Amino acid sequence: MAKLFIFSLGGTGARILRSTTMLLAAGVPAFNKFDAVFPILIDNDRDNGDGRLTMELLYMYDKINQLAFRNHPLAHRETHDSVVGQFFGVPLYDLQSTTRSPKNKVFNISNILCPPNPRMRFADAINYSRLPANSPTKLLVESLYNDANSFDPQSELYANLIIGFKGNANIGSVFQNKLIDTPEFKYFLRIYNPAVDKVVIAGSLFGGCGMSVMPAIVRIIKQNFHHPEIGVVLAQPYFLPKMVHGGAINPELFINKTNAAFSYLEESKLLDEAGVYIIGDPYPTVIDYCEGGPGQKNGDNVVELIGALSIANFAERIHTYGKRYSFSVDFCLTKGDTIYIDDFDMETKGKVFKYIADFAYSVKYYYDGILSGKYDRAAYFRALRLQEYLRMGLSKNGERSTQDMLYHFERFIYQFKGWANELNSNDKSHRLSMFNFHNNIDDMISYRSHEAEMDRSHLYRLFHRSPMSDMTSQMDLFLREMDFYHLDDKSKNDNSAFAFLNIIHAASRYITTKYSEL
Amino acid sequence: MIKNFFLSEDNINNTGRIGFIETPHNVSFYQSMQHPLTVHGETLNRLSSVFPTPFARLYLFEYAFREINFYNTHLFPNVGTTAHLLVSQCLDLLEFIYLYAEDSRFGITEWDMNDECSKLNNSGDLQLKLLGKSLKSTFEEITPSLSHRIFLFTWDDVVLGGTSPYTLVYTSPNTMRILHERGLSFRGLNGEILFDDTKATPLYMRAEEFQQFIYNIYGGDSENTVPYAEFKEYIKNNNHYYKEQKQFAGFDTQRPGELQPLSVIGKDVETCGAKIYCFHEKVRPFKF
Repeated sequence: MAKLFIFSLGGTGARILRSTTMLLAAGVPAFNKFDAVFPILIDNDRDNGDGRLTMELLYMYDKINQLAFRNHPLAHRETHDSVVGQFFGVPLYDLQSTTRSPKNKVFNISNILCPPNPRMRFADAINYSRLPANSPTKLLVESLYNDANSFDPQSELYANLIIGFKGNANIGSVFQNKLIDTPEFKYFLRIYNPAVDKVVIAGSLFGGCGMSVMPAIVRIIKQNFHHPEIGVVLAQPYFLPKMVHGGAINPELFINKTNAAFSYLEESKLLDEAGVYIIGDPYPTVIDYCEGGPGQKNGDNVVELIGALSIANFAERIHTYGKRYSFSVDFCLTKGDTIYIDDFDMETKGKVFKYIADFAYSVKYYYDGILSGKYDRAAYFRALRLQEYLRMGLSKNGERSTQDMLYHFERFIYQFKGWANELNSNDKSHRLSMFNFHNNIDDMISYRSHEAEMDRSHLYRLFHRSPMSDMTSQMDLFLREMDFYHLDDKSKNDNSAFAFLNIIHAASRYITTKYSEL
Repeated sequence: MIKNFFLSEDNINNTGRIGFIETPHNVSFYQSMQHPLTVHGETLNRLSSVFPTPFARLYLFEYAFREINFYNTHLFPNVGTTAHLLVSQCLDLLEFIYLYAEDSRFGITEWDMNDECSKLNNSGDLQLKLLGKSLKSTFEEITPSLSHRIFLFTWDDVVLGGTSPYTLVYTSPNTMRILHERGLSFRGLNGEILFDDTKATPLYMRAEEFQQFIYNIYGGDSENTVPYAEFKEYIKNNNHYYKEQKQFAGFDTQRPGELQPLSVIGKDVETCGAKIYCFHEKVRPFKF
């Protein structure tokens, strides 16, 4: 059983994992060769807004996957999809699967990094006051950490750890051993098989958690396994908090810190055998100042999607030992330039964006064709009894798996739309314009050339029937191909969650091929 | 040198569009570049926070020396970067020891990794145990087969810094703040203020006597070169630069007799075989 472990570290890691979850939901084939994906969020910031959003997304994904693909006989039958992919098709696992019910997965093992008392300062967490006065260790600690009083934002020794390490990897590293001693990490070491499994670690070079934990994970894996395949996605500063007088996070230091981090990684030779992906933006996006906690919810950024592309790229490649990857662009980007799907190379478009487009078409169709009731007379609509399930909330005691799956699906696609729109919001240094959900389904994909967009749309409208009707017919057709109409009522009931995802996936695949150039 | 920024026009994929570029592992991904921002004082100390080890200060100073050595060919005289300020602090501590180490207020404390971490481990306190475990595992990475000790330098009860296998010595992030708070000010041989967080004084701008001392002790090839390679490289570059500027033959490596290795309880103060010296003949006058 091939497994992919994705360690997401800190706020940046969480946001990269959020984008990766979108790729997983879209059925990007790079992940299909894995029987299980283990998303693992690690953050000392208990209430980090970015982490919470990602957790919610993973929870929805997992529910959809379980309701549609587990214990439904039809889900295991051959489909016409040459890449054997499905929306939400790859199952997620957590590192506590052996001890918990699969219904209560915990992808987040962040709290183990926290000191016992959430209000603790670093000095309390190491019991600094118990060190005898003038003892060598006390003097050593004084020589290594800033011991200004706790009101001084520069203080390290008296820094409050309730909202994370606030960019201090030298503090976070003291707690590395706590991570390694956790049952979750021990479980990971037990089930990891370097012959078939891959590990990818994503985080920032300039933050506290990423640089605190990444070296520890890499080191432990290298110590315990021969030739492990490890990918590391490192984000250089791509956003810049507004400077706040007296703030603990100093954006002026970001570039200096990144350089210093590179220096450390180079000298330590820690990543010499890893596949390393460096991502960033030379024109950082300016955001409001925030040290962490619930307020830390930086808007989705194209750099995070590039991080997710890096994870997909690593997941797909056969040998990444000692390779380093960066991204390229063929035109001179300046601050404020918008990027379009068409700007990416054929490999990236063919292996990733095509599938994101599939999912976007499904989202569009779900809102405009299904939820609106426009196609409530379609054969598939009636056969799957969607009228009974739509917008009904969760069923009592989980009795109706299709209803529950649609509940989670609807919440997930709302997030997807928000994510795609946020990537294109104009407060970013670089926007990524993928889709315009307000347009008709046949000209939903954004292109650099407005004329090309208009020509394409005009052409299809002249010679083709409505793409929405087209998609409806395809959904009917695919349901028929599944022999769904001939099933008895119980079998229909048991399989309708899977059938819905299967036909909307296949139909949107058809629409992408027909109406886009992907 | 690899260009890491994915949104850079310098990175052209062979397909001519945005995509992944594969680079062999022997290409450095460390981008050394002139810092666009120079940070001073307390903020300067925050730079060590990026190194994932409690011994971040030691890595920080090594990083600073490496940066300056990289600059050497074209930017050596530039004294305004973060790296120059850090290197200056390190030289300040060496010059301070050279001048003031025989004063009774100067103290040396040995931190022996094995002894101290054992104490923490046996303290029965889980948090101290965690600290001990972390200090031990991370310090062993720095000196896996070399000496496992740091000598810490104090002035009265102010911790000034300690020895480092990377750069001979490092300074504490608190030194300047506490010296300021107490109104203490020390001057070097040229009269420059030591531990000044706003002005960097490179080696070639310091007194020739101090330059001669540094080069004599640490500039030659006979000393153990591996542990503090970047420091030695800096001295070599400095010597070369100073020779060019002053048009003289350069410093030699013959040791003057009046230097005395520092010692504590009969033990030489050293780091990976390199001893730390003070000027033995007399204590130089200094101002408070």
